[in-house]
Amino acid sequence: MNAAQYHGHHVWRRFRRQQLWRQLKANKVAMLSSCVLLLLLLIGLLAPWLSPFDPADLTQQSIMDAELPPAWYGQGDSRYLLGTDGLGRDLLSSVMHGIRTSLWVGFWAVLLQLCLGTILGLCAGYFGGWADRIVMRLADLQLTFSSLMLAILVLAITRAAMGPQEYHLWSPWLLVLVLGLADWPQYARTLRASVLNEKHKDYVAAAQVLGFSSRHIMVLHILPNTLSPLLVIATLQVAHVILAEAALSFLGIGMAYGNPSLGGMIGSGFEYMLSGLWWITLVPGLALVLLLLSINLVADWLRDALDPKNIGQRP
Amino acid sequence: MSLGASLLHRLAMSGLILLLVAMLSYWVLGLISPNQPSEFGLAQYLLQVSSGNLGQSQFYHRPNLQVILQALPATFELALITCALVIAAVLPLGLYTAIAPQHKLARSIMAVSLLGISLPVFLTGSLMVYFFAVELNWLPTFGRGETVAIGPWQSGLLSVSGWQHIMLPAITLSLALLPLFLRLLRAELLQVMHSNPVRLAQAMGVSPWRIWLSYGLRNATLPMITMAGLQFGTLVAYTIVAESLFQWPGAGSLFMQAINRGDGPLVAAYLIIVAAIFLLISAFTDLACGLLNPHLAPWHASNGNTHGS
Repeated sequence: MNAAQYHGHHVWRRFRRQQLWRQLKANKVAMLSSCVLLLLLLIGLLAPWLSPFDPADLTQQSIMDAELPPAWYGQGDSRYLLGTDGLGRDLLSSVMHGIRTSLWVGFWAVLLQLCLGTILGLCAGYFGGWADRIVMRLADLQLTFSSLMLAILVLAITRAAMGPQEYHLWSPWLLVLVLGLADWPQYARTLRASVLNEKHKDYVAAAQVLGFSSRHIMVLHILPNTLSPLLVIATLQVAHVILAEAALSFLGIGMAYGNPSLGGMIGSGFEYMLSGLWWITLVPGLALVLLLLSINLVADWLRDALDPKNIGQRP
Repeated sequence: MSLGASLLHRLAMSGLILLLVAMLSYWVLGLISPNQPSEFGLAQYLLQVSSGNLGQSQFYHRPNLQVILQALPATFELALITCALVIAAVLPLGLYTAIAPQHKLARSIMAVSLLGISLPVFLTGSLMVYFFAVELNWLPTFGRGETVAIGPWQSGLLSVSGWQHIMLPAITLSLALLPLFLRLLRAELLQVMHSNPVRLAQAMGVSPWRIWLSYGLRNATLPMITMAGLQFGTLVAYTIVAESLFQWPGAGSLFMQAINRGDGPLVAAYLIIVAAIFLLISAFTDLACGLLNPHLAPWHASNGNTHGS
């Protein structure tokens, strides 16, 4: 097996040899956070079947049940485990669907970022010259301007141009598109650095001599060597995208009212909080923090576990 | 590259970026208020903008520049107090966690900072409002309170009610930024503490405080300033969120109101002004970095060929 293949498959090989698994078992924080994350993933995936009510179904909500506290409080109702919001919707169901929305946006936006960043980074590193200069200058500009700011500006202007009704029809896809296109520089920088590191190695020269095309060399020889850092960045970015989606929905330029979103729920709960109804804000808030924290902790652990410096180290 | 040439290069780049932003905002103006651009063409709009006329707000019926300039002091004061709070908290915390990284308290501070990264700014804000305004009834939740005019500048920092009003938004914003800077300062300090000059100083018996302050903090200042410059966009975004939450009458909530009212000219003017402030801040960051470490300055002799970054 040559060097490229060895490095390229090391993530997969290590998983097969269960080193990652052993490292996970040894780290209590990582174990707990990945269990929580797995649970949240399952809740998100199965929300339509797990949730006791359908938040989008207007016939299931009644204003009589509005503003009920969680079930373990005196005035609580056992049908609504985590209480209801100002319109009488079950908070548990809304939170489950909200987690689903967050994960959906996170998944598609990060997939888009990953594709864009990979292509730009590979090209910048491999071809060098003006392609490199343009891509890196754009990356600097994008990093300084921040993806959240760009998303706020673009989505706010789109909303003002389309009008609220039309905008809310398109908002889930617009969110994915904007957050996906706005946050590619980190991938591109990492890939470019690895490509510059790899491109003068003998196996790349050998592939060139054998007459393989640039595309073939980039995708099949160089890319596999950089999978581990990309995986870490992508995991962190899922948290970043979910946070951005929540902030945008909080501002009223993210998800529509029909699609329950944790940020939107926190935003609409704020006015009730002023009159002392804390749970309408706190329940989706806790779910969001749990989701973000578990993703961040798993990404932290993944970075340490996949770090080449720690390879071969037994826990 | 000489100082003069690098200044000229910077001015030319800034001019180009402002021109592009102005063209973009003309397009945005057409998107939001379709009747506006038909009154005048792109060339006329650019001429108007370059002479300092950013048009009239549809809602306020006053010049956009005036409307935005009146909102800026509120945002600026909020940013100022936030910065002061972040610096006041990050210096002792960063020094402590870097000096005693293995200590239990230092480790729990770092754990809390990881939690802080996962806490969205609007959630911290909501919780602060609940505790300090609803439960304890200590602090007001919205607006700026009483302001005192110093010439054209409406300041909220000269009255008791102004200080009461700024506390919750400023603490919320600084809590959102603190973890980021704490982690950076700690990493930089740890790196400096294990460097050869510091080891030599320790061996020579220089007092620990002197090492921490004049070796550690001084070396960590540069990356902190670079980071602050890099985080400018995020800071503006967080300010928009916090201003909307606390109904703070600054530029951020002005922008969201303009969006909700479909006030195209005001949105377009806001874009141009944010771009101008953005360029100013980035010039200031580069200048500060150049003064602190002349080797990085674009006007430094050895950077002649590799300038422009």
